[in-house]
Amino acid sequence: MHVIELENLRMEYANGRGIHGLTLQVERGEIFGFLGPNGAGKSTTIRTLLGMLAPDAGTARVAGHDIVTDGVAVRRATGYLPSENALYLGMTGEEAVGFSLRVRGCPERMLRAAELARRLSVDLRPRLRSLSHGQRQKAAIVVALAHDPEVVILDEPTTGLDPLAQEQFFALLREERDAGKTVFLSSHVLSEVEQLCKRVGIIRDGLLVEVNEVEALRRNRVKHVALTFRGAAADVGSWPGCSEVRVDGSRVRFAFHGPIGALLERLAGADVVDASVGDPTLEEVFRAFYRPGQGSGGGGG
Amino acid sequence: MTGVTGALVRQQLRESRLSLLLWAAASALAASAVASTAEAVADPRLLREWLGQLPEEMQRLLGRVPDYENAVDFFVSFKWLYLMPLIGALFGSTAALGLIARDIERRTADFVLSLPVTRAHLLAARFAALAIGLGAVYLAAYLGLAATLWAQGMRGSFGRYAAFHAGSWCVALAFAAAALRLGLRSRGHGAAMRWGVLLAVGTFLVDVVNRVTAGPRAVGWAVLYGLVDAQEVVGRGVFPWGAVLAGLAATGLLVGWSLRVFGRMRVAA
Repeated sequence: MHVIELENLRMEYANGRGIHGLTLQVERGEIFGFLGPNGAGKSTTIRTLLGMLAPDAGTARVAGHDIVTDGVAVRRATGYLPSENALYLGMTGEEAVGFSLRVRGCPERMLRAAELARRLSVDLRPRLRSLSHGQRQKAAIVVALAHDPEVVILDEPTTGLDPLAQEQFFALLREERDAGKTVFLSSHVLSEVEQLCKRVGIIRDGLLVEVNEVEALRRNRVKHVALTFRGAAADVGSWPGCSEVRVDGSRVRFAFHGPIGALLERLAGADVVDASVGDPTLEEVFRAFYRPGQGSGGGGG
Repeated sequence: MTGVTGALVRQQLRESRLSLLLWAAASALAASAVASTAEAVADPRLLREWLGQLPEEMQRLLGRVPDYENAVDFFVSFKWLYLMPLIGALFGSTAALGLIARDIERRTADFVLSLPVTRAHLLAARFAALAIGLGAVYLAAYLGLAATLWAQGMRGSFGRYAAFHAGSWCVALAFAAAALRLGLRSRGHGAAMRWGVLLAVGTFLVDVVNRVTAGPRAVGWAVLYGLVDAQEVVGRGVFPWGAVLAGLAATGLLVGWSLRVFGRMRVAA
């Protein structure tokens, strides 16, 4: 069952930026990674889903509720962690959580908030102003999760968290997923997406250029190739799909984009004594999508 | 007040408590300071002489002793009460301009707008908090005035002062509602604040000039300040129904307009 569904969703600012027709589905119980550099349209997508920005066209549903006609129900079913601290700094963490829970009509969830705070090692009693950046972020995570939302939307959630806190947070997210919750994780930190998500969507200039499983992306998009020639190395740089070529005597290492069969055809006529082909890291996959002229297929899904 | 609306109102009052306390304390102290100089009214003849030295236009603005049955009322009116609508309009305008603009500037809008309430509900609750705060400022000013007069044994028309404060509250609410609408249009809190002050002070000056020059009363009504006239309310004991009705009607229209605009507004990151 799709918990988040976007159908040709479009929201454009006056300067032409924004999102230009996103189509995407996220399943129940999934941690979905939403990847893209700053300015690609990640936050705009999230803010449109939460009703902060009205879409120009297209539709979207979150937890079965239309984002335009039933925005209150969408926000009731959602826990949101913005990319920057958005809590009132004059409040204590407890007050911020209490306010959020009262507005959501579930003040009894304060016990869950206390448990989350304990898990994340954050004291909710001091004023948020007096907390470090990382502690504030933890308090914001508690506010986002305290009401036990069906859908959790996180925008760059690990900003300011130390590695230990990140581990605790990731463990928490995995528990949420195991409990059937859906997590929409927007990030440009590829390692965290790689750790948490099975599927990712890659957004570029407001267009989804790829939606796929992390493993499939690694397999399909870029390969690390190392070749050793018997004599002088061939001019691999002139071969289609080859880039980042590094020549070391008769040994050549390069990245290959495209169907591996095409490369094998090339190699059949070359005097190669050794060859290895490896999967790239997600970061390399991601970079490949952001090279000029790559991947702007639009309307993924 | 309980439930969602109560939580929103309390949160807004909490957020604005510092400026609210400052305005209430300053108003109460100023009213008290003015009232503490009221020994001058022990001899109304002195007042009349002092007033007689003023140009005709100023006398028209301040009123005349014979217009008042009570010398204390006259003193309070020309020394203090005529400023009350302006004080409320200034507080209301500056507070209203910050109702949404501050959240956008401090980036707390992301938190507030992700809560499961409609924007209309949010804005209406915040304006209700502002109305309560404005009422608290007027109550503080009234108590400062009345308590100081009472402590000196001055027999003012306390009920009429209360009616004047109530009328001023309604007029100030309308200014706050106008500023709220301006604030949704302006880019940046600082720029909006200047517009708010200009709105409150500019229209007050229009009313002052209109009174001094014996201009048409409609001009005073149009800028709203003319709806609360100390000579009528305190001097003749007329309840300021015009201020109450027109102030609340203008408030309702302007807040309704703001709710519609805010409902469609794109709150940028």
